[in-house]
Amino acid sequence: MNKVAIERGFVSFAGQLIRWKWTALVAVLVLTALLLSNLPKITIDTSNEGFLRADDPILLDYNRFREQFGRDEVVLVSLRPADLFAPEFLQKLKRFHADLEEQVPHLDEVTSLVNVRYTTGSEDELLVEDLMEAFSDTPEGQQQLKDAAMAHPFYKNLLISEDGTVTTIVIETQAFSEEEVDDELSAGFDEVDGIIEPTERTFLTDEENSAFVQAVMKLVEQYRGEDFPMEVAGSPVVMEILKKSMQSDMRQFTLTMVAIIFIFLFLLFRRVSGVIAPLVVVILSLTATIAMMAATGVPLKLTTQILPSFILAVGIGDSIHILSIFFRRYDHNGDKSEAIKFALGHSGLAVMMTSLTTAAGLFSFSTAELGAVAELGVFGGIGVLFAMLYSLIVLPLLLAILPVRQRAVSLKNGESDEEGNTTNSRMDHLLDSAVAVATNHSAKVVLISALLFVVAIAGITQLEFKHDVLKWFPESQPIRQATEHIDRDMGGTISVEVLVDSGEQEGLYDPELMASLAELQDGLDTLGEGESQLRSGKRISVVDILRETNQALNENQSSYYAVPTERGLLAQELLLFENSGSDDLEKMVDSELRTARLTLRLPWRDAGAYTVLVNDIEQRVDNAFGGQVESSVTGLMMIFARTLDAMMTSMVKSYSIAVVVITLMMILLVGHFRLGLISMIPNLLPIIIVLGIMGLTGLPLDAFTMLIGSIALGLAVDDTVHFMHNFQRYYRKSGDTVEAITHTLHTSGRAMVVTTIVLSLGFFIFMRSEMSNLFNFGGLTGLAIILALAADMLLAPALMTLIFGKSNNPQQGAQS
Amino acid sequence: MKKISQSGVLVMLFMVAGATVAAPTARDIMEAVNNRNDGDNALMQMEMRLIDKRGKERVRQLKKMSQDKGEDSYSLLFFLSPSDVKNTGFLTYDYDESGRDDDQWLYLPALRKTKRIANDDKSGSFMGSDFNYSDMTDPDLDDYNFTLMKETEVKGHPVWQIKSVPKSKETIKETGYRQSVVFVRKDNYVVVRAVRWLEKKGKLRYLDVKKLEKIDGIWTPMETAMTTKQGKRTQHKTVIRYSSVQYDQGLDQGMFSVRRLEKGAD
Repeated sequence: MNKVAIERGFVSFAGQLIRWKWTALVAVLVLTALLLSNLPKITIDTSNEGFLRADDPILLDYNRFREQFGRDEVVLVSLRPADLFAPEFLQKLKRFHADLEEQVPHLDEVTSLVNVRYTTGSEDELLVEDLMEAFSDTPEGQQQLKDAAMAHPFYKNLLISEDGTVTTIVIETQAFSEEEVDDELSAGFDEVDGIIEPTERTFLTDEENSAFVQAVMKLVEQYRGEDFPMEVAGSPVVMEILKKSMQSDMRQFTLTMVAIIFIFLFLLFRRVSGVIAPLVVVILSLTATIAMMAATGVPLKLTTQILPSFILAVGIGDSIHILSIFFRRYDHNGDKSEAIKFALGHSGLAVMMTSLTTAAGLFSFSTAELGAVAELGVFGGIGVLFAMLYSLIVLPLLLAILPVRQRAVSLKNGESDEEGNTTNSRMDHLLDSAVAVATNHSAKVVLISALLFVVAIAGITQLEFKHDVLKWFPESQPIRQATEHIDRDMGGTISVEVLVDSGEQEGLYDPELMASLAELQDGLDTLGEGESQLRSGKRISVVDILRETNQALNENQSSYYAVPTERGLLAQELLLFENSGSDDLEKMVDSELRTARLTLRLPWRDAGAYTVLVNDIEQRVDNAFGGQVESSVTGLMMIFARTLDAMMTSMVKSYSIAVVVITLMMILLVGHFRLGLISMIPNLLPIIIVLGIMGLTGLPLDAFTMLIGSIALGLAVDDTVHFMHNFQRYYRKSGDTVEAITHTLHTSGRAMVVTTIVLSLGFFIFMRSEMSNLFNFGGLTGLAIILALAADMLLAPALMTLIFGKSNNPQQGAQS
Repeated sequence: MKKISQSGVLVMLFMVAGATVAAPTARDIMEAVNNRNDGDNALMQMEMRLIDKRGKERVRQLKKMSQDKGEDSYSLLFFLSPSDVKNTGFLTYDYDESGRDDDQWLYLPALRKTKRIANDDKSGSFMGSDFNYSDMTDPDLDDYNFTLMKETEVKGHPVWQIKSVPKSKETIKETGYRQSVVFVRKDNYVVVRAVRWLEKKGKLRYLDVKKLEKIDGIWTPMETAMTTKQGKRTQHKTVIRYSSVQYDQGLDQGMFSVRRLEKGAD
């Protein structure tokens, strides 16, 4: 790489900028304003499936299922009154139920003891009614209601716990986003006979889910009381809480980061222009990035919520490097234009290289199977590049246009250097000790690093992948307890959906097929084996309707709680049910009576517990039908399991890409193959140590902590870039390793310390979140960045000392 | 099916005569609709096409017989196809008396049993279609408030556009509809279109008479579509085609009995 030519290029670029400063500024601002006009379009998505790519096959299966049968994620309200069948309680339940139906938007259906289907029969009568309507309000009626409800197998674990102390209300949302309806009534009439589906439909949006959950919670608060103790669970609620905490966290992180940057800039430069100009640069970079997301229709997700503070922290580094040189020069000679050109010439390449390596670390996620992580990679990378562009263009323009106060040069001690850092005795002391340790004990430093490496590798073998959104919340968060309680009382809220396609219209009239379905359904009460065994509290399918109807048609004798064995009878019972006033069948079979749906509800677990069940379920479905039908398994459980799988492959892929790309860039920058490879050692060691710490302390790899490696690598490499860049330069001049190291640490080492503090603070901010995923991510990445600094101040110099020898060494052929 | 009562005739005369003097009220129009001559009894074949949102169809053939009995009406309905449900039959007594529940019996040939179905609810699907039972019978006008929204045209015919809102929650629950807007043709008092708001929010049903013919002097919808929509999206659709419609055939009095029900369609 011809560095001199590049530096000259930056100088003349700066010259042009200054010459056309007003035109350039207006052009940049107009372009930025155009981009920012997209900002209002930004949306938020905290859905479970939002982690996956839009074209993930598992997600496509899930979408097809939701298009046919509606959303499988439900809200469960569980009630544990003193007496579940006390008339006062049931009356209140009725009112609550009616209010839910009346006041909750985007609602599909509310099912509770009030309206659950009750089918019964006698000698010559058949009754299909809502449960509470079937009995009178008299004490005898209430007793009959209790007996009937407790005896009904379908209600067990769906609406009543096995011990009869808890009842639930199942609240289902619509699957699709609401659309504008024409006011003109005649517009609703189709001119043609068939079905025209105009465009793709959007699933219920995050905003609509929020409105839905908030309306439910409002009523829950209104009705909650000693006589009406309630808990609310279900993934739509989890989504809403995640979104709330994400919004407040994001706001807090961003403001805190701006404040930190403000303070740092002021301490460093002590003048208005030194605070305002870089802040404008990073805030523009941030808003431009978010506007890019809005423009491309990518919503903010749990992963991308870290973008604002991340871009601020990373982006400010560029400004700090340019400004520190600019001010130094400017204070010396008072020629602003010359100082700008000098600063850009000196730091332009470094800013570009560090930005490119950081962006490379982030872009390494862009191929991730985990869509939400890929988005973070892409837009994180774009953000870093925006920060680079704005730092190289807008910052010089602002400096050229704004009045900049010149300060008297005051050097207390030490010599001034071309990087323009003022000296500070405590910092010097620190840097000197680093040099002393690294050069005098280089072998020991390398040995200790090797030991740390070995221990860390041992830790890494203990690493575990986890995906359990609920565990991210603090234990005090009511949703955690509610979910645990409902899992205990009713056997779970997470759905597995099995679709059985008979292959022909009315194929479900086949009694053998139905018998197989019934057998499968009954057998799926326990899944998996040994430690990974999981019980399914509730299983629902058309089998329940057939059994119920058959029993009711046969004078309610329990021996007839069975699927008919004759095709005609089976068909006629379904016809009867369709005609009975209940629309429950729509949720269990498709309208052609070709495909049947079997729903299992499982307790909430870490996704790892689900991945081991997937094969078991698929195997048992295959066995049940012996290949005579097409079957598929989907549902929220599959989404969780897939997310975990995608996480593992994403991480392996992204880490490999990041290591390869960044290594190549290092080799290119250093200009020497072997030296480039060696310079990767201080880059990689901090990440290996952090991953080792995670393994040893049992912190899991999740959708957040898996990001640490590539992000920290992309940042850690910045220090190494600066170190190697300067070391080579000084070594070329003096040919003395120790002197080159001393010089390097006293110049760019200083900037490294400052940027490391700002950057690590940028990540430590996340520790203020009450969400454990953010806490872990922030703490560990911050730690990795500090370790990276340590590695570049100790390990990198030690390695250079070992390679080039301690004293004058003419082995200069190692450089380009 | 009601005979043209005296009051109905009077209303119609009033409207024909007084058209230039005073416009009829919405309620007048709806009475005329209810009182429109639709025969004392009728015999017909029905082809019911159930179309789902993906355009997949199922077809059911039925045979229907109906008879007025005073102000009440009786009907007998048999499935002809698909073969698995052939001869499954429904016998219904629909009473005019306000508040009196219908009687319905069901015969399942595979079980060889007749069951009386106790259900006071007309909001349930009619034979698995988008029509519900309240769509198949005349409304009790006293249960509603009617307002004449405007006069407009449907397929070139002048119509009254009338809004009908149930007076009570019970009526909403029973019929399954929050409110309706009906389009009544001025020349023959046939409801040729209707929009109905389902009790379940956000869902609408569109009734559209696609073919209307005069048979034996009686205006008869020969093809009727009912489309259930959520917003602009069709969720499900039923098209019923009538054929071999015969009026006033002097049906046997014992026709509308359980015994006849158990004999099947032929």
